[in-house]
Amino acid sequence: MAQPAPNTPPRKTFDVCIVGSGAAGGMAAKVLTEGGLDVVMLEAGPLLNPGLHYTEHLWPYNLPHRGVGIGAGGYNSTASHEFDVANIVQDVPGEPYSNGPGSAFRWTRARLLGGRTNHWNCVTLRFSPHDMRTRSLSGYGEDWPVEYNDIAPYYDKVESLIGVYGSREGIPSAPDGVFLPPPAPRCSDLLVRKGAAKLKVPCIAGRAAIVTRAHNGRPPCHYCAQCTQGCRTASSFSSSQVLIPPALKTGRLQIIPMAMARQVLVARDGKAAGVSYIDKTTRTEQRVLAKVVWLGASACESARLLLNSRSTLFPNGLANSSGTVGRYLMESVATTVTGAFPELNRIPPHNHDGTGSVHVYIPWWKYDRRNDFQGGYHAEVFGGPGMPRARMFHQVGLEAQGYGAALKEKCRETYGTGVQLLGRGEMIPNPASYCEIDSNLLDQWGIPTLRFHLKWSDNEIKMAKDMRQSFEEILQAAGGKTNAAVPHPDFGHLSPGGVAHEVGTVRMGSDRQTSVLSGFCQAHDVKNLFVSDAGCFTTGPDKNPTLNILALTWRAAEYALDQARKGDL
Amino acid sequence: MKLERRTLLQLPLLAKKPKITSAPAKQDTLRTLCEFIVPGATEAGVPEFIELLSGENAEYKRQISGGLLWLDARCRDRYGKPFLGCSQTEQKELLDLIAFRENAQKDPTLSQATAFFAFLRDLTLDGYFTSRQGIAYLDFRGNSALSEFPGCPPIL
Ligand SMILES: Cc1cc2nc3c(=O)[nH]c(=O)nc-3n(C[C@H](O)[C@H](O)[C@H](O)COP(=O)(O)OP(=O)(O)OC[C@H]3O[C@@H](n4cnc5c(N)ncnc54)[C@H](O)[C@@H]3O)c2cc1C
Repeated sequence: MAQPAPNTPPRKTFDVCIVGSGAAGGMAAKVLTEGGLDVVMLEAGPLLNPGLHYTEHLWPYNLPHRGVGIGAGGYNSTASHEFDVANIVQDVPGEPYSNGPGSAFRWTRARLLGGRTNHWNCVTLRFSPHDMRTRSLSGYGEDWPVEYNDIAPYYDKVESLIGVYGSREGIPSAPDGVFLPPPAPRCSDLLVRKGAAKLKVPCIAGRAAIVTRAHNGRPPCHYCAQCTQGCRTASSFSSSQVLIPPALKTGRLQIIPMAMARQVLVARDGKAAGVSYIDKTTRTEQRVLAKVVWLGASACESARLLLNSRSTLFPNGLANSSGTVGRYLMESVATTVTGAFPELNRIPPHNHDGTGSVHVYIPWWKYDRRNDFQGGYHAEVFGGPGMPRARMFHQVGLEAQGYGAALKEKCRETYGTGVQLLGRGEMIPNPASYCEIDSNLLDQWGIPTLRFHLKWSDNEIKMAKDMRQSFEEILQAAGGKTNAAVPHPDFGHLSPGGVAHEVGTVRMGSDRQTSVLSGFCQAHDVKNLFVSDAGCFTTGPDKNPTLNILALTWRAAEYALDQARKGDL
Repeated sequence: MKLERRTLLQLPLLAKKPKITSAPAKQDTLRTLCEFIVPGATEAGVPEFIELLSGENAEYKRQISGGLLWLDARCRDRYGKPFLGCSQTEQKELLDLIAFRENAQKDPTLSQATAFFAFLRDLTLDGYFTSRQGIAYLDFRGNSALSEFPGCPPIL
């Protein structure tokens, strides 16, 4: 994939300019180039070099800082540590963001070809038919301008292409897909399954974009549990290794790395004409021209780009006649409950790693009853004896106090006995939750930055409370001890952004007064402008975003090809 | 103090073993303490790990250097010699004062030193259990490449 960064951009006019190379950008590039279009892709980070950027199979002692970073900088701060794929952090050097009063949104961003798909946990869940029509079926949230049946064929196509393991269950809240065989459960999974069964809660095979059989030229998973460190064999899905290569193979994709898009250029007729960007290597302003502009810079980055693309024609930012660009920012409602299972320490030591994702999970199961909140959640199951890490034994030290052989032995006894249920729940769109351009802060490229105002409503707090209660019940039914102390007044919500599932801000809708895009990710105001990252989401179901980004992008790209053929863009 | 997290690109990946640069007496005291906290810590390179971090982080340096000096001063008051000059029994006697939260609750003059010891205990546990020796001690069997994942052995 070696391609030198050109200092001066190509002079020609491309068919499409894509901004970003993650799930959205990579999928758009593949479908559009295979459909015969000439595509240029701007990516704010470098090309992927797995030898340099991935840390798979490192031992902590291979790193002088043992994973905690220089001066323990990756240890106490919110930054991810040395084992994460490089260039995927909250504190991007020289690219700050801010929060309004009372908002504590954390924004994990990638600056690397393939975006955050180099580092994700691969949990791959379809929206349910109900998820996309909550307004008409249950009276809350919004209806999407597309229905489940519109995207179901694209779910099939995406799953067949990227390889997803799972099992067919027929549960209404968790539609089945095209699945590879799931991996065998770990010991910790069996415990949770036992507890769930006692309470008649479904606990089914996990669903993840990791190939358990050789698939489309990719070797099967080798079970090191390190997807977030980058998978050198590409057995876990990443855009950089699974979508970009076939796009390059068409000969119709040109990637410009280290290119930070600043503004979408607009022609006099009000159509998008290309993108201006900062070449980070030379710190110069450049531009590329294109007949179609496709944003896949990630949810809030795409909103930022539109808000920064002001002109006399579009004084409030591009495609923003509705005033909703930046609005309806959502994030998964997330809380974690840990159960202690001493028996995990008494079983014979064995390799417990498995894939880097869930082997079992608990889909939303209370859809058939009245709850004191709207929407659903699911639980991802992790835990057991994993790779020893810094910080793993602080709690033991705190509880045991003292020092010496007894302390050391206590650590061994406790090691690997924790099992976590990670809750991921639906956030209902609300206009008070948004991002906007910060009037005071430029990044080091001279581009105005974002200010976040993420607000949970009462519904999200009630949901988190319910999550904690039901997770404690499940873990206790499994024989685990849970810590009853609730860490925060909001029931242990991670501070928003902690799970990197931010969606909304450039939402699709059938009413152009209250939305930015059509169901095909096409801007209502500018027909040759598309946004297909999670910015386009109308609501924020409990399902992790990536599969849904991929399917919506594929569908939008086919539509765009069709329109281009008809000369309608 | 806030440190910018560098990306891996800028890290001396797989660099050679860090060297201790502080004064020899301080090094020996740190070594002795680490070894008290987790037997085997010296062999596992824990003092070097702690020195590396405190050389880069002023806050860590303050806590470690300050704590070590407090220890020497207390030993001189009590036994008339610095920590290293004390017998093992005397050393343990002093550590038993500062290694337990409840002692500081009874005697507030111990509270800063107790905080220092807790900090050093955390760092020592981090260093030891991320070392080759510590990982072997835990009997961790993963981080390898398997062609099939066998799942849980038939015991649960
Ligand atoms: C630790 C972790 C675990 C996760 N686990 C899961 C999971 O299990 N399941 C799931 O579904 N999702 C998961 N996610 C979320 C998932 O990574 C994202 O949903 C997905 O990557 C989003 O794809 P995207 O294309 O919208 O954006 P990204 O993947 O973020 O890619 C955007 C790209 O655009 C580039 N870019 C941004 N701004 C500009 C600009 N102005 N100019 C040029 N380029 C730009 C960036 O450099 C980046 O490479 C996880 C995320 C993290 C961090």
